[in-house]
Amino acid sequence: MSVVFSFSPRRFVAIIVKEFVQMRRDRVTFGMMVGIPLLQLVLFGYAINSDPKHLPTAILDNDRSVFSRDMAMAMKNSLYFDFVTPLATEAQADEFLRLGRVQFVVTIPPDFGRDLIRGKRPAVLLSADATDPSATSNAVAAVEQAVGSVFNRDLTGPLAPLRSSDGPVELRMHARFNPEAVTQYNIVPGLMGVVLTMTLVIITSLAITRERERGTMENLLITPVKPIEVLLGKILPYMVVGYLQMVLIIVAARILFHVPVLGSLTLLFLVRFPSSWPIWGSASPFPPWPRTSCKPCRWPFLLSAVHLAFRFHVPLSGHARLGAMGGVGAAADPLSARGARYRPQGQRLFRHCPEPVADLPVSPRLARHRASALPADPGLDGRSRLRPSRSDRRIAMVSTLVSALRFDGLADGYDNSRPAPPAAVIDVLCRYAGMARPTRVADIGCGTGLSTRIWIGRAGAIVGVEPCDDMRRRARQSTDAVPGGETVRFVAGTSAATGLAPASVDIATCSQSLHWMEPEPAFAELARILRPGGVFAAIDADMTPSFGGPAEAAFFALRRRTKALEAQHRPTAVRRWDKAGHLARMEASGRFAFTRELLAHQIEPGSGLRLVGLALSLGSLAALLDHGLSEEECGLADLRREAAAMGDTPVPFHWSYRVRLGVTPQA
Amino acid sequence: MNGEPPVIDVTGLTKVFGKKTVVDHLDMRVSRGEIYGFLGPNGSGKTTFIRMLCGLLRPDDGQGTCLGFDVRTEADRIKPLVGYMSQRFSLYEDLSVWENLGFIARMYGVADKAAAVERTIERLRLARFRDQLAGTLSGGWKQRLALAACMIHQPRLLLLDEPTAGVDPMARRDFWDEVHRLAGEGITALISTHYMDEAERCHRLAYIAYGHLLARGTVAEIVAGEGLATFEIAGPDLYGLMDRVKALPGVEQVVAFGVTLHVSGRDAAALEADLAPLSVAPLTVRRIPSNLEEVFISLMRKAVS
Repeated sequence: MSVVFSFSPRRFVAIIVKEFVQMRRDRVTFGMMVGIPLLQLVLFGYAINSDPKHLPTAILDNDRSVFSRDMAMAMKNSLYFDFVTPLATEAQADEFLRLGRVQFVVTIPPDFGRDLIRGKRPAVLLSADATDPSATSNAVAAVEQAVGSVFNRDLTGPLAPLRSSDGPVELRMHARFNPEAVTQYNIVPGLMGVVLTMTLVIITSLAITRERERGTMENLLITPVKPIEVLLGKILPYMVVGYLQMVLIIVAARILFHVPVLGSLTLLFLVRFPSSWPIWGSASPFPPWPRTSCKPCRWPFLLSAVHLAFRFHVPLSGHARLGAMGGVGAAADPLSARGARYRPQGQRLFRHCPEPVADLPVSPRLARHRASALPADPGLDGRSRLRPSRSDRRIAMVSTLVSALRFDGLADGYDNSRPAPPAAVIDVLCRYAGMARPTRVADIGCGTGLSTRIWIGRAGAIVGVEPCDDMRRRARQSTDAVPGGETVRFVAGTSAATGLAPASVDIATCSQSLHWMEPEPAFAELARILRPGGVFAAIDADMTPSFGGPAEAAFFALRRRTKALEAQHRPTAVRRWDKAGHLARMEASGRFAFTRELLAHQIEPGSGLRLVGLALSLGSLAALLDHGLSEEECGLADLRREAAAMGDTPVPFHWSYRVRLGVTPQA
Repeated sequence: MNGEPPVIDVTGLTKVFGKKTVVDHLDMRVSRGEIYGFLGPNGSGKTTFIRMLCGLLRPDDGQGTCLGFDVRTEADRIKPLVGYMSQRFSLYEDLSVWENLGFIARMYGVADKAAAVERTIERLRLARFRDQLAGTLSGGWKQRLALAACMIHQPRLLLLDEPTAGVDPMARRDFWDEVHRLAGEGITALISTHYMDEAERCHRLAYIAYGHLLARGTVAEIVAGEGLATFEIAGPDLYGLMDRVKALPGVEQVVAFGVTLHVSGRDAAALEADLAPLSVAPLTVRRIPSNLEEVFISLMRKAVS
């Protein structure tokens, strides 16, 4: 009787064959074998993403500079962030995070751009809704990357030293609602989703299938019972079970995992009711619908339910979070966004631009750059992507803009203290241009318009080009106060992109400004806007007027001191080109047919007050003071003392000018 | 039978599943208090017909009334007055007898549920199983419970679909006694069955095959209507004889009944003549009355051909 225990391949094969025959006969099973993998493929493949992108993000941009926008764009281009809305206040940002409307809030501090240029490593705050820590980690890594590299494009040439090893910008992270990134805070409440959808759906649909398979449905249908009575009657008990399970999970979550339960439990229980829809799905394809469609109808419902249930396993962007609903997770956040809010330390000497730079009405070229970096609407949702153009022009534009930002806030002192070029220079330039009254004159880097206004009455059209809003505003004001001032136009633009028409200018000047400009792009732009045989002149005053006395010595001492301190502290990495090398660089550029240097002289009324103002208008001193050095250290205190000793008596200030001029080739 | 309108009165009832006409223009009239037997081979459309009567299926054609209500449009009004028992046990096996009956009573909205359940348990002598789970009952008692469930709401018509399939003779007898008692109370019953002895306990019969009505009337009427003559051959070693008898021209059926052979044919005289040569010792041939089974087999053969 050993046969009984031996394995019979024939019996084994017979069972295999029978299984295949039955498989083929049962259309539903067959459909499920093909359909379920497909459906799952689609559901899981498309809907579940362990590396969620396009996370809703809001930006609180207190700076609104090119840099803050670049930063936002870089984040957007990482694909992890979708900027849904610009925010106005921190309260609003908190509200958005709390309501779950956004997963991130980026806070850019005021003066972000300026501080960046000044090498102060401004802090950007990234507040993340960390209820689901795994969902945000990749995005956070992306920001770090973006912050590290976005400014590499801008921080070239003169600004390259700012690319320090720890990055030009400090990124501060706030993991809100779940600062310790406890994954249980997400997974345990997520389990509620699994239990309530998956288990409940399966239990309910099994209850209905059982009724049909045991034939009891027939007995039910012969009674006068209505389908809706059966439907509701069969579902309600499982709904109650669902609520009991929910209580169980919440209690267990509290006791075992210490998941904080905040907000309204009543609301949670209430919203749970409609979220049980898959149960209805699994139950509904029964009496009112023909029997044949019953099973195939059911499994998409079931599958989608299972899919929903699994949502916690894998981070899904934008899914409903219990924490956000006021349920579990909105844990205490000891650090408010304000904690990381950047406040400039140290002395502030000058008022910075009275209102945030709304937008620079710049040259068409620059405007185009802007348009691509930022849509007209501050919502940052433009379709256009900022493509990093690595052209010199762009670099020059930025570095000039950067220089301009340095002068942000210096306008007042500047206008009153700095010398204007002597009228004799105008005569000489007109001679070289070959016309007594040039048709069109451009003053590039015109600042407060000191060097622009000298052309009033001496030229047809006068235009001052200046990137800094504050300076330009001041220039407009001062010029309007002068007779004939209305003939002067001030436009936003940089040395590399003036926005002026080609060959439209007879004489172009850079007064006290060429040393800020990246030479090659600047000369290229000058050659472009100057007519053939046009004249370019870099006019630089020696910043130390001669008038005799101890105050002059104190001023010299201050300049020496600042030079030494600059080398020591490097308060800014903005590059300056030495003035003595201007002529050589102009020659080397090959843009000019003739170059030479000439000297000029000017006497202006001076005073002790003006001397102090002049010192304060020096970018290097301003940077050192802003860097936190004291007036004493910089030698300003000494100067103030000596200047005070001069009293109110006007003193003639003798200014020396060096003019380096170049004439473009004749056509 | 009396002046009352018939309980079931349908004409031309038809049901088509896909391309197959399962019930083909069937007419039926059943009077109050009648036990109407519904016979036919498997798949002849009996169950479908019953399901149409009680509103579980909508007829594709034909019209008529059941308990005075239109079978096409008034299923909701028919259902509360009908007790239906399906072929398969369709009560909850994980509920006790009492719980099952209580549930059904509530489904029908019986006024005094507890009293109705008690009354039914009493009547069908289910008292000792009151708290037993329905799934643990034996086949006969399950049938009894199912009958109890379908009469708990005191229906006026019982539609019993093969109620005694797989039940032992004793239980079947009890069951039929109960049905007759109910009929005595004026309850009409339409019962489908395969058992000839059960058919013979019905007041009237209808025989359907492949959706068509083949015969109807009392047992005697049907047997007489078919006009079949049957002879019994008794003696030893009948198996060798069977093929010989089958080959005879007038013979339609030869069935072995223990130690006898039943030979049936349409022409009694010719059959007698054919069988006469076999009537030599030890064999005996004698004429007997045809029974219902022989009549039905004959009817079915006619339907097939």
